[in-house]
Amino acid sequence: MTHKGWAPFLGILAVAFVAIQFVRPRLTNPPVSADLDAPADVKEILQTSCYNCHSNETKLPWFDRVVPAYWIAVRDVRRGRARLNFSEFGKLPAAQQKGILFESVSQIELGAMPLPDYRRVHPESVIRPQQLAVLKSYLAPVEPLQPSTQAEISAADAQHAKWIQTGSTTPAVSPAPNGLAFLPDYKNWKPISSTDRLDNHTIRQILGNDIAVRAIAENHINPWPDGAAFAKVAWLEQVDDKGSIRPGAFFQVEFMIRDAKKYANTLGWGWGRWRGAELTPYGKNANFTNECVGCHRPMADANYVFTMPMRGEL
Amino acid sequence: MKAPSKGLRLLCIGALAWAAGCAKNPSVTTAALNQSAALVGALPMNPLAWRIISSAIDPANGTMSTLYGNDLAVGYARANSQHDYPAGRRWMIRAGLARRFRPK
Repeated sequence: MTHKGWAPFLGILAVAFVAIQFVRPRLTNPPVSADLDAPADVKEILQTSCYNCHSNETKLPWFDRVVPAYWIAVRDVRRGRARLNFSEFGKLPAAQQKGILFESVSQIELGAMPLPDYRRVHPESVIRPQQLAVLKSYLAPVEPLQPSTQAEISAADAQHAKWIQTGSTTPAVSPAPNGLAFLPDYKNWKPISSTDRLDNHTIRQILGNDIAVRAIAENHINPWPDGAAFAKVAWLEQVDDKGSIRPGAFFQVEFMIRDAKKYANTLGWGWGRWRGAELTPYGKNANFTNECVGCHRPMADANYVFTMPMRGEL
Repeated sequence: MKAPSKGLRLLCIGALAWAAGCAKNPSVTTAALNQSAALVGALPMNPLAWRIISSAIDPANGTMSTLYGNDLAVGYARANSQHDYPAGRRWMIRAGLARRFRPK
């Protein structure tokens, strides 16, 4: 095609480009009702890197106001605010705020946030290592461990004594709000890893069912086979006078059950969490899985699993 | 064929940049077995075959330990508060360096 032959084509493109500028979904900044309460250095990092999509203080630069970039920006802001809105953050219970911040820092550390596409176009949003250190320090300040109180120890001991008394009897436990059944036999699954969490002071064991353990032995863990299941069991940390830590009161158990087709809408995994000795299902409705999916999504290349199981044989 | 005009080249570059922006997010981690935690062949038991009794963290040494037991040991631990374990019980403690050290 000659240079002249391109002219009509380019003309049509130019007209279309101008025309689509008028297709502008509405994007407003509602009032800030309960902004995040955090130290100035922490807030400055979040405001620079996160607030454009995760607050009611969105400030789009000129190039984000040009369609089609504008459409992408509006989509990202809507999704971002629905997932986490720092302008309404103060309305949440303190424990929930801490949990969400932990997840946020985890996403930053994994390179999933700010979104890689966004970082490319907005280099000022990139969170540098020293800024990440500021966020982590705010979340889990380095402070001496406090020994558990006698009341905490007695409560954990009483819970353990009751558990021993009930033995193999399993109380009726309701399924998770998404229908995932509680599997009492998880206690007999095999240990594949162990972790702790500095921010909420829990010590954890990750157990795998037979299918998961066989997949580890055969090193077929990406993707994990259908039927593979994990239980992450968490206890509150109990600290003695010397600073050593052991499991205290039972905190929660979480399941991940693999079925690529059945759970296609939630990354190919069924999710469930039961809290406290009463094993109360977590979540008001099936949408609680948004939390699970949001946190695990950055692990796409590890089949959405954080655990790095220890190598073993059968 | 004549070389594309500067405007067309810019348009193509812009389209490419936009398409690249819509590409799949880069991966951040891949699946892997924890080779450094593998103890296969070095012990008289297999960590994937026994079950857990308890675990502990020693912040002073930066270690996390896991206490495993065979069926006899696990069965006893789950039914008794005492430490009068029956004959035939076996345990193993596996200690590893914690990845995140705690303050003393």
